[in-house]
Amino acid sequence: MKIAVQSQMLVMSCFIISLLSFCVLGLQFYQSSQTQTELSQIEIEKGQINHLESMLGQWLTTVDLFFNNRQSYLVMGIERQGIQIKEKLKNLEFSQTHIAKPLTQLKNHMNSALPLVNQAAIVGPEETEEWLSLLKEIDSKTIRLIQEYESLKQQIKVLSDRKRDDFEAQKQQLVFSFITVTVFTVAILTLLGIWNSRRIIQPLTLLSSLSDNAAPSLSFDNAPLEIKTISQKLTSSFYNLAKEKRQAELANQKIEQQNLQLQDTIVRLEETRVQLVENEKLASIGQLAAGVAHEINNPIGYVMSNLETLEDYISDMKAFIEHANELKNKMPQLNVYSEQYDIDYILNDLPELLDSSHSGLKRVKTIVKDLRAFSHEVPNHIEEIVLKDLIEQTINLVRPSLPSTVSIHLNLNTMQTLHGSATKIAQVLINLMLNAADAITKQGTISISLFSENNVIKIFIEDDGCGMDAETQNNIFNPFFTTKPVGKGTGLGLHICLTIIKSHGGDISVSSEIDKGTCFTISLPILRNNDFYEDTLSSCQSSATKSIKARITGD
Amino acid sequence: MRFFIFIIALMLSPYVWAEAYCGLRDPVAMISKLYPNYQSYRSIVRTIDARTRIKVSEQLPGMPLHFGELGRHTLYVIEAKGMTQGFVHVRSEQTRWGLVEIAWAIDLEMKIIDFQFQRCRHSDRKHLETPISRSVFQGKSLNGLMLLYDFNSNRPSTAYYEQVKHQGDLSDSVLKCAMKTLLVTQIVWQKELDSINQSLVNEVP
Repeated sequence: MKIAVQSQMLVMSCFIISLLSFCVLGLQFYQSSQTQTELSQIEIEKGQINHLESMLGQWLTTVDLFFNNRQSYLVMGIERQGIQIKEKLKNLEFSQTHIAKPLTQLKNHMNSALPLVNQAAIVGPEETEEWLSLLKEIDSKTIRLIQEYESLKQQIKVLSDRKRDDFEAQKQQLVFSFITVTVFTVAILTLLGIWNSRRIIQPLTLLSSLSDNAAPSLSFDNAPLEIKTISQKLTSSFYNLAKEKRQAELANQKIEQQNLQLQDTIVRLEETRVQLVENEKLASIGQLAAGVAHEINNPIGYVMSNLETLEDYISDMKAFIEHANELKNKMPQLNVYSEQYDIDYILNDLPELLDSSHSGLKRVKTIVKDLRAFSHEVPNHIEEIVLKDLIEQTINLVRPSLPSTVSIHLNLNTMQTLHGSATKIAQVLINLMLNAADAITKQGTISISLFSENNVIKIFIEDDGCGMDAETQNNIFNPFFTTKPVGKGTGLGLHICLTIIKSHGGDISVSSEIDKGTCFTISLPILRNNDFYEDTLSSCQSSATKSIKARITGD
Repeated sequence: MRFFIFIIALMLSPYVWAEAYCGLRDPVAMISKLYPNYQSYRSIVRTIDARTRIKVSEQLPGMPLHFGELGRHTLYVIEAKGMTQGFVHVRSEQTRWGLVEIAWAIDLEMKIIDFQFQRCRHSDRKHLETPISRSVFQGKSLNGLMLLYDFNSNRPSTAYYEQVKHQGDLSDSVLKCAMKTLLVTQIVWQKELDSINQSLVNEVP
């Protein structure tokens, strides 16, 4: 059905319903008006009848006066009053139609009474009998006249009451009909409106909703043809639009996510770059240290050689001076020179100086040797490591950089060896020691213990510093996790430590308590399969690199 | 309009009332009803004049005699066995249905014995003719009747309506008529009444 046809049907239905309602109400209103008009007419007639009562009263009084006093002058007046009363009776049109009987009787009695008055007027004073007879007759007629009047009055009252009741009933019925018809009309019009809404407006609303979301399940079966056609076209268009919109939104979300990831990557790249620069610096310093160590090593060699020669020379010089002292008695001048140059004191102090120099050179030599060992000059290769020695060497390297408030306590109870990369293990130990020193803010102790049990070597590096909370402990081995200020730590140190220890088939764990300290425990297995170490070392190194790369790229 | 002018002219014309006369139409029949044992009666005609009217207005305030009520009136003296039994006095009272004429039977002590309507067109008449209604008037003197009337509001008291069991134009008129009748009788026929009472005293052994 087309919208135009449906609209015409709706308008026509509304018109017919309204017309019917109007007809029903109009008819009832007309009936009510008719009744009201009749009631008004009756009320007017009631007033006339009441007036008639006073006329009758006066007329009867005049009649009585005439008969009591025999005043014949009153006859004309009685006649005129009688005519007026009869005229009045003629004017009661409604009563003549509806209550004709008492009215007619009233007229008849009036007509029969008037001649009696005229008749009495000519009766002489001596004709007492006739007079009394007429008097009796006029009383009888007037009594019946009054009875008819009262009947008339009663009937008009009944009629008036009945009409008033009818009018009130019709009025109430009219009000009831008005309410009923109004409710009925409103209900029908509402239903028509709902029907119209379902047929036209609702489909249009659904069509408009297509712009918000595609609704392929919408039904337009009962909708007008125009809406069906539009809905088919719009459904398709809006569906495609909505689909593209959703895709665009998803793409936007993805782009935003990628942007965030990119920003994160940039930040991490910057951190990595800083780390690489630091690494490069460290490598350069390592190379420099290796070169310096190499250059220092040769002079130390010949200085040590010269010191040994010098010891021999001093021994000879000492023997010569002892022999020369024997000649002091013979050569007093010699005694003077000996005292002048304090030869005895020199002879006593020389061995100590030589020992001290020798010892210092040995220490320099050890440092140079250790520097060479940690400056990558020595390639990463599997070797047998005496952990006790490695720890001591590491402490020698670290101690100069530790503050004076930090003391180191050693408890190295085993000479157990293991196979692995001494350089890497030392790197781990250095890192952990420096971290322990950083954790001690005022004065404290770093305790390093070494134990061996069940083919496992355990190293405990413990401090009494500030400690860590649980969250820090959980994340401490994650790459790029750091509690140090920006620029002071990269967050890679402990991750590399873990990777190195894992590459040796071991493990590293941490336990800590706030304000009480932290303890790192390194567990290393005592294995002798070189191939295993080399494989795991290389694989762990690559996995550590991959892990760091993954953290950087976010994959 | 002409009707009212005529009525006003009628009321103001003194000649109309010049020959006022009030009496029983059929005295024998009426007296028989009121005094079944009567043997004879005699009538005394006297004129009710302006002086009577003044006295009535003094004793019954708010209830003056109309000019129409003035004129010659008849008092019937009822006798039996040579003794005066009482009186019959007919008076008219204007009501809405013309004049009501009531014949009042009065004893020697000027108390109401009974009454009869000589003319009454009212349909309410039957209410006033019941024994109960009649008993309200029977044995009542003027003072007794005056107690049934409220002179302040110039209408019968509620007690009167309750006793006669009717309230309307006719019952009002009957009470007024009774009071006026007794008073007018005493005023106008005073000499005759005194004479009759004196003769009765003399006859007592």
